[in-house]
Amino acid sequence: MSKTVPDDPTPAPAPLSVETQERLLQVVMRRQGALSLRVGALFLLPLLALPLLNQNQPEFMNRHILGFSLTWLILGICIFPLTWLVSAYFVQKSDAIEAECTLLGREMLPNPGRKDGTANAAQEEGKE
Amino acid sequence: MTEGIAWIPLTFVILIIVATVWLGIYATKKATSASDFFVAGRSVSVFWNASAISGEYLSAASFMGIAGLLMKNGYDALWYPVGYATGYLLLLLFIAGPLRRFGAYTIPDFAEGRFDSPLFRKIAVIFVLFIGFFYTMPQMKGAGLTMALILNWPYAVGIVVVGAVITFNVALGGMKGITFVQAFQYWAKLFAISVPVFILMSVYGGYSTNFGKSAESPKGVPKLNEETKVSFKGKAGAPANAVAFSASTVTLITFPEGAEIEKVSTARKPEPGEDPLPEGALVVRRGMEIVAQSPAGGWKTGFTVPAGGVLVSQPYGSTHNGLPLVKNAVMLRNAPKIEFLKPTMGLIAAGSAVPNAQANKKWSEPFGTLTGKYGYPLLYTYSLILALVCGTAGLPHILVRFYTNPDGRSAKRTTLWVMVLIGVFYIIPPVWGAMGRNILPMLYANNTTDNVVLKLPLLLENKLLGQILSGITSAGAFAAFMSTFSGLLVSMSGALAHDIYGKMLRPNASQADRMKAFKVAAVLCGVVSVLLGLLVEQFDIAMMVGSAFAIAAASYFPLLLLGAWWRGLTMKGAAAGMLTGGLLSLGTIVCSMAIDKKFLVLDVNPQIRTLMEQPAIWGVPLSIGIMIVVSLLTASSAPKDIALKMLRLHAPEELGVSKNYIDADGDH
Repeated sequence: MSKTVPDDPTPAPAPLSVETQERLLQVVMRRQGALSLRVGALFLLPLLALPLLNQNQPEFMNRHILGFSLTWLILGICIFPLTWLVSAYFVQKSDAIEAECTLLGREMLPNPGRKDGTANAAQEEGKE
Repeated sequence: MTEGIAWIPLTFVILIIVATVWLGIYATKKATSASDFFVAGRSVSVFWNASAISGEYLSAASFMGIAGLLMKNGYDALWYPVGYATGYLLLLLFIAGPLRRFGAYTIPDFAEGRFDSPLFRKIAVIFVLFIGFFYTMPQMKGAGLTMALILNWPYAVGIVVVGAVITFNVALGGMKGITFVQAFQYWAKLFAISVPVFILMSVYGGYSTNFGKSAESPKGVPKLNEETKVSFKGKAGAPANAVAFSASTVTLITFPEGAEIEKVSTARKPEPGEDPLPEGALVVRRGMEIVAQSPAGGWKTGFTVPAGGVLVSQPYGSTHNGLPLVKNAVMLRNAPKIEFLKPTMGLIAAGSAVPNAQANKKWSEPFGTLTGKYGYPLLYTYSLILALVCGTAGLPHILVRFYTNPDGRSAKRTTLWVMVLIGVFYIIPPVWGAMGRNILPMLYANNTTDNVVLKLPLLLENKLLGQILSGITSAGAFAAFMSTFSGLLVSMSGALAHDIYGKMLRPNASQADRMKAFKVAAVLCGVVSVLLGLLVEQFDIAMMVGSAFAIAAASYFPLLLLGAWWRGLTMKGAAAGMLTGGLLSLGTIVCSMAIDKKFLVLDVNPQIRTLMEQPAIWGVPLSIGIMIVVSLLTASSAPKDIALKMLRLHAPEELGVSKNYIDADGDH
């Protein structure tokens, strides 16, 4: 009944001060958010341009390639492998950011004998 | 229609049902605690979870609907699979990781936890039911069609039987059972959609060959090579009882038992000032004797064809005050359109152009009959894309699965794998549609293109092989609506049992009571879904699913996006935006369906009609806009610990700031 779900294997952390929370949050959210927006724009802008191209360049978009029209080839076939590439890229980058943020967060934890987190935060942001 | 029972397909369908129920029962033995029941103990591996999510996501709309819609509308229908697949990208980029980290079972859990507001949970729960029921309607239609074809059962009986089997299975197994079953069903569906099509391609030519046939002569229309028996729908089947004749070729239909035509109009909506149907556009003959000839403007109140009579439709050049009508330097043509009063059997003569099929150019190029039906194709296209892309992230039965990942990182991995699995699948249904246009055009005549994956294999010379392949696709279709309907039932029953019963009605209920409540809720939702399914026989499967996406896009998507990324979002803002955007979208879609079905007679401006049928383009920005404005006005009511909440959403698990919002027995 009160079985605990084993999905949080890490030991309970020391509580973070509000200032540390804010600092950590800013770094984590800004970096992840920037990555998501960048990757999203990379994929969605061309996709959203397709209907406009269909309307304004109909001859070009309907020219025959490999037995299909260009626009059919893009929308019916090629777009799917593209989503895989884009998402694989995102997952890789996102994991890297998380690894860095974990390091940074550990630095910030108020454990004695560790360096001051502020300097590290600045350092991490500089890498971006 | 197949007469009697199709034994081989029936065997395949029974096999898939038995396998599904058996897997469900087998897994139930392992599901004991409430946590197992709701989210499978959060211990499912990336591969299984990705297969299960894909299995749940690939619904009747993906399996039957896309092929049917593509056969009917051509290029424009490609946006559906693309939207379904790219929606996942958005989910991956902005929502999958944070949502899992927050650690809750359902979107209502997220709604409550993010804003510390039990009231908001109640509001959020409503949309699980709205979206869920909307999504079940097309699944039910798929079930009804498949059973009608295999067992020659009436549409309604198929729905009742299938609804009962699935409801029973869900009530027994909950979600742990469903995880295994869903994963198994993904692979079953991929097999069922791909293997038969490869065999058919070896006989009827590949994807590009079939596409090429539909693109070579722009004005060409698919023709029937032999006399074809077609069952036309009656008035109860409106709008699918309409038969629009070809504007390029004469069409002859013999009615052995006669026919009653309720209404005559034109196939293409008349241009402003276009003269009405010319005299003699429709002729009724018996043998060579002319029985009747339509007056100018057609028979205003319909007409009757005697038993054994032949109806001849003659296309004509459109005129304005008697002179040829020209648009974009092309002389316009038109043809009659008729609507049957009662279900009627007709024989379309060999060599006739098949009614209701659009010309090759409209089919193979963008902005055809789907997006262009109200005259604003670009607006329609963008609104559709927005609905599908944003709506995926707002589907309650898909999101709940992210909680079965051990952590946020594996939630992202799972999403990546889902994209691969569904992407591979989505390349295939359009192949069926393109092939159907060339070799089974009779489906256009009575608007049954949704049947194409079930009927196409039956054309093979080798009848046994055809029956086996049709059996495989029937089983795949079954897997499709079974898995999606199961997922929806789990979500909706979970919302009722977990959110309404467990949180609102009896917060102190024991675990046994909660499990019982889940089962009762499953039965209740099953019954409502069946009743709704009976209403929608005439609507395209993929279109209805699109509508569910549009509602999700204007309600849950903004909540999740802003809730995860903007700390300034307040409960009041989120509620105001979700309710306004979601309910208005729901309202316009229901209105639009009522107009189609002729329950509602409303003469709306075509631009507004486009926005009613595809509301995402205004619904999503409206919802987000209201969320932002109201949140700014009520900024003082933001949760005090918002920084910690945002950290829980975004910080890697290793830092230990995330914790599951709900623990194992459903309390928090």
